[in-house]
Amino acid sequence: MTDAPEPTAEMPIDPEQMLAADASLAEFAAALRAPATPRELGGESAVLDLMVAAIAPPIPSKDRRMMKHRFARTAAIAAVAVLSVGGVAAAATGTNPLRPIVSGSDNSSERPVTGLVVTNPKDESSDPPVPRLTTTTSPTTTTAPPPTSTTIATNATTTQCTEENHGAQVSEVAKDKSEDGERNHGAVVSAAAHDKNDCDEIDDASDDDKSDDQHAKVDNAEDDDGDDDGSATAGSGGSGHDSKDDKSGEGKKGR
Amino acid sequence: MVAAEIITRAKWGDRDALAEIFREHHPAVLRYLNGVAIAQAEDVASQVWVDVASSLRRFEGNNDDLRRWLFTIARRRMIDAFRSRSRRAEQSVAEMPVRVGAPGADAVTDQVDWAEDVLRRLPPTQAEVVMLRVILGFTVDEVAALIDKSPGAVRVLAHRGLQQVSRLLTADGRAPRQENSTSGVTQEWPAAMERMR
Repeated sequence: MTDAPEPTAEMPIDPEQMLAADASLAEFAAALRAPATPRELGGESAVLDLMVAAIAPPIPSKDRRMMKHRFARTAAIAAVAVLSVGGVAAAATGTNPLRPIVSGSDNSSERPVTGLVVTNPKDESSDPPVPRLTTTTSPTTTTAPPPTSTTIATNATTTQCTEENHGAQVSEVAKDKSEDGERNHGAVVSAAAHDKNDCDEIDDASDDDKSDDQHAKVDNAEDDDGDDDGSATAGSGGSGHDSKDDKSGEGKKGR
Repeated sequence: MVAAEIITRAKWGDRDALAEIFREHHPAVLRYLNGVAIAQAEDVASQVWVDVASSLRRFEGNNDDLRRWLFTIARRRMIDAFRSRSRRAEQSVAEMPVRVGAPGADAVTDQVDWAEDVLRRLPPTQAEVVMLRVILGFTVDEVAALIDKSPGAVRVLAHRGLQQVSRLLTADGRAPRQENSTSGVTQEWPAAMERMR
């Protein structure tokens, strides 16, 4: 048997012939071709459970596409809703750091960020601090949306103190000698001329109807009611000039 | 023989259809894995069936195609098992796990165990080809495609494998060829060898 030649690819070797030629080989092959034994099928139930679990329920391709579209649409709607609601909520609560606190509806988008600050009056009056609208620069103002709040717009509508009307207002103060004495008039005019920021206050103070006694300096500059004995004129030296007519009369008398 | 309708039902997760396919092919898979000396062959066979179920929906073909596909997967899992074993300590054939069935409990089981033991004593490639070509009846080309060898190599491996089995059976006293010279089979064996010349 050891002398048997090596088979080649061209040499047909039928295994069935070999098995037929050797009973032991036939017995060997028959044993391996035997039907399944109970031991071999013992784990059938467990394996079938795994197989059933491994076969996922099919999803038709059409439904899969629709699910994909639906998911994309839902995601887009959710993103828009979150952005819009979040933006409104941030604007309403003022928590958005990019949102400028601006006032005025005319040119608010062109104005820099304004902030509400508390400033002390320039004099030593005991009035409580009054909120004032001041202007602060900030580089983040260009993208600010138009303001929706008008909480401090009443002050801001009269705050345009430009170079042109500043001179007119100083002139107006200079002409108004009715309530100030001779000594204080110059100081008041000087103060009005030097303080461009306060021109709005002067403007406010010159308007009798809109005067709200918020600023002590304005009160110092003008008191049309003639109550110059009151506290508003404390800085004037208490000279007691009652009216413009009286003042002019005294001047005439003096002369 | 598994009908095409059974395969179609199995694709949709029909447990009865899956059971029929399992009963038809599992013994061959398990004996193939046992024959090539795979440790924990039953675990590997279970993994083979899970892999089959995972991809069954994409399968197209009849029972023969299913069997080829099944043994392609089984061979891959077998190679994985060999690699896994090589990473661990080498396990010789003598260290193979003891079979669960008690000896003598079932004559068929005993015969199967005996045949698998003989097969495990062959070199793995010979055992594989003997199992696929001789026992399971795959064609030479099918076996060549399965084990990635030429058809000529498959023929040689099959022949050498059967020769080796015959020697082993003779050594074990199971081969009556020399003792029983009156047997027609033994008389045909040298003739078969002569025909191969």
